[in-house]
Amino acid sequence: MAKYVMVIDAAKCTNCKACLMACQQENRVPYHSFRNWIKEGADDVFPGRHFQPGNCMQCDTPVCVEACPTGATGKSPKDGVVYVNTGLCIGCGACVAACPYGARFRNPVLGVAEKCDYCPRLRSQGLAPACVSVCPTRTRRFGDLEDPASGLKALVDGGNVIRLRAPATDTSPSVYYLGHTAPLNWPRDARAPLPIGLWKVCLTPLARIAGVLALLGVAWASARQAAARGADGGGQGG
Amino acid sequence: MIRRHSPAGIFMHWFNAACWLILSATGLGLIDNPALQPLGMWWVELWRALGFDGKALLAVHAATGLVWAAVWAVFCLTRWRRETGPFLGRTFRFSPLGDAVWLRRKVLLLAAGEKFMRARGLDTSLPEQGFYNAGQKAFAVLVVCCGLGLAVTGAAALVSRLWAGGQAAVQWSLAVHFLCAVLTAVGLPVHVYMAALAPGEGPALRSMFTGFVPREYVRHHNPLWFRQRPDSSGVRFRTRPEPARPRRVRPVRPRGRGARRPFPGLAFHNAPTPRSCILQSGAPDGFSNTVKILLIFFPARWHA
Repeated sequence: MAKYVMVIDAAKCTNCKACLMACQQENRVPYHSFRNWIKEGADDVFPGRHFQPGNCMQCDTPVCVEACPTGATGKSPKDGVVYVNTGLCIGCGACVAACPYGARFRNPVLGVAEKCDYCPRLRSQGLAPACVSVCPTRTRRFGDLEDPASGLKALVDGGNVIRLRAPATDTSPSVYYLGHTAPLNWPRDARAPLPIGLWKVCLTPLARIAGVLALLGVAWASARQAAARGADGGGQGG
Repeated sequence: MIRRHSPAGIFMHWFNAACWLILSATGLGLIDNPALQPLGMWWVELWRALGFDGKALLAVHAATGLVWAAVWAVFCLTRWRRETGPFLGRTFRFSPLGDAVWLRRKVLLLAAGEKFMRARGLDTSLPEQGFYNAGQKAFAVLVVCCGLGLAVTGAAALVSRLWAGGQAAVQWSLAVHFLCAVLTAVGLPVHVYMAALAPGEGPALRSMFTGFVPREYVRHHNPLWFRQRPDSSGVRFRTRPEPARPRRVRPVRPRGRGARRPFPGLAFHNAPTPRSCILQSGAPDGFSNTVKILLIFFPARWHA
């Protein structure tokens, strides 16, 4: 089983936005919509201008998947990529609201959820995703974490990487930043939207309890009526 | 016999039942999320094993839902004066005294029994009921409200892809759709039991095919309606003559494997089994008719 990850050396990014354009063209994303981004930030390590490229973090515990009611999105066991099945997606936007990174959006033309899936068409031809191939400074590195030839495992295990995480909810993102990056505090807590949360916490348990009670009630009433009929020698019920 | 259901009403009842079966089965199969699926993921996997992926299930669910809503809309609007109006008038008009007392006592009777109530000095008599009893009214109100909720929220989910900026509304629609389906589905076993399986409800079940109920049945179950016919809503009900009495008890033959080998003189189900027949087979007394009939197939020495 492969596990595709991306390791980003943000210090190399020049904010040329070639990755944004390449992704948009490869995946036919409508104009004014983007699957990836470049954020700008500064801190003590990078006091000047610093650019932080990013895309879907392909989390190991994706809250967007937990929020989807129709199973239209999932984490592929084959390669660890979080995908969207557009045939099943009804465009309810629960996953968009749940993502702590804002990595999902609603495709304004198709009306379904859209996100980075590491360019499956290019990967099927043995190529890297468009944003990786096109980067002039090799800011983004992509590969299979389980494949020693990719060299990414050594980088990740080396400890000189950080992951962007929401303060209270860790979704185990699979995108690593080499050394340091800024800003760090922008991911928000991962939480399914209120209707889906209510469904999960209240409606499903309620449905289970009510269903069992209804069936037990009918069985109980049938047994009582049968017993009463037996005692009366075949009387008539209500 | 008194007409209780029109042919169109009977058709709509069974059409509704068939649609409900398809919609609830496919709808539950669409909830491909262990945290939201009330039956468990085996139901989703069953559909996948049958060759229905999520896309196919969604297509069947949406198409059936559209047909269901469209046929109901046409029926309700075209027969507003004859069927819809009187139905709503009868079911949504609750009398706090008669209906509340009926519901409380009936639930107690079913759950605890007459002996239990008498032992505690509780009144076991049920207030007289009209065309619908209080339980039927409560279920009808539930079905009408949830049916409307399902149609509206289902339509919202259906057009959600075309509906930019209304994602919160779509999410609420899905949750309400599920809630309405659950409420109705929970009421269904109770409805099926009370209307078809409970002892003495044979005429009610048969009327859902023929449209007619016996005069005595109405006098016993719906005395207020019996006295008011034609009722205050102006609806006139056709009647047809009662069958001549005494009725000959027709033996009901068993279905399935035994049906092709009838036993002369053996009456099943609703007539006492001829004692001579049982005695010839050597079966001891004290068994139920079904056991006695089964014992005929085995040698007498096995019966001891």
